[in-house]
Amino acid sequence: MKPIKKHIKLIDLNLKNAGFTVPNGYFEYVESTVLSKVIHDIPKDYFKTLDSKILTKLNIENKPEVKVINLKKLLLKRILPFAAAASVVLFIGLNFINKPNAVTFESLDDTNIDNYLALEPDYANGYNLGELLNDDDFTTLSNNITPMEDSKLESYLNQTNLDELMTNN
Amino acid sequence: MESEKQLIADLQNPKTQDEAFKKLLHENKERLYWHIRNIVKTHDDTDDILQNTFIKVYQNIGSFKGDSKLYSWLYRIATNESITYLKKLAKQQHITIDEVNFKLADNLYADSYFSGDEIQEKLQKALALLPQKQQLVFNMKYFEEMKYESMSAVLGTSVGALKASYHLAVKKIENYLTHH
Repeated sequence: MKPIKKHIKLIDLNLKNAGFTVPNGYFEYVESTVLSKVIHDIPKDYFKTLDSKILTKLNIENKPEVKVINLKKLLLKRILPFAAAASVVLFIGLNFINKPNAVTFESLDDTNIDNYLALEPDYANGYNLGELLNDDDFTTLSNNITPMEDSKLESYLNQTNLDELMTNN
Repeated sequence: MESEKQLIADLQNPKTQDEAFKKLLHENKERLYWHIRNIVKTHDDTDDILQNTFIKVYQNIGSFKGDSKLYSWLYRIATNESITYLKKLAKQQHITIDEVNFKLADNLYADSYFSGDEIQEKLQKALALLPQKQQLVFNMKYFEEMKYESMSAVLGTSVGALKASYHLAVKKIENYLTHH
């Protein structure tokens, strides 16, 4: 026969509290924190006099007047003619002067590319690099990868910290 | 009574307000802390709510008309702040306020500021299953040892209804403790 459970009475438990505790010195802390939030010991009229005090300290009234230059006049008279001349020179230079040592992707060696990737973390990250490749690139890459033998794969996994592998990938 | 009237007058007078507020804070911080803690369970949340409660008291003391006692006004603000916090949690987590209560009670074992034994932990779980108002009534009567008249002033419920509510809460909690 199943034993009948004794009905628990709260009054018999005589629990004086819920079991919650507080950090040492909390009530002193909260008192000073609340007071610092609501009562600010700032002298009356402080903000009324603050502006003039700052201006006095900066001595703004005594500073010599700064000459104002008209930007429109400056642009039309001085900068625009020089900018036009520079544009013509740049156009001729870019189109008609031969560039014998132009850099192409083929001219870069592996070390240059490695260094670039190491210094550009955005592209070194596999996800960002993936954004630069299209479906054909991925097909070519997977065709070029030689399948790893099972024994080599097992050996790699045994030597590698699996937790690290899982969290880093 | 006379001293409470004087305290209210001092709190509403800009010249004496700060000193009066220091007194109010000093005398009420602990009991309001435990009142809030019994509702929201964790120390950190209680700390935030307690500070907000006193800041609201300071900001709104000018509009306190003295129709009710000062302590019941403080308790009402603290209770409202605590319930509002629980509702906010429920909204954030897309669950009901009852589920929030149970979650809070269920996580107590991991709280570094909870040193209750097995029965105290069970009691919190049993409490979390009660309707919010019944929880309030139980906490205020059982842990805070408040008189029904004072509870009535805070919760705006008749003494008779509070007694019935407490009786029901005790019955449900005892049943839970017996069978779990």
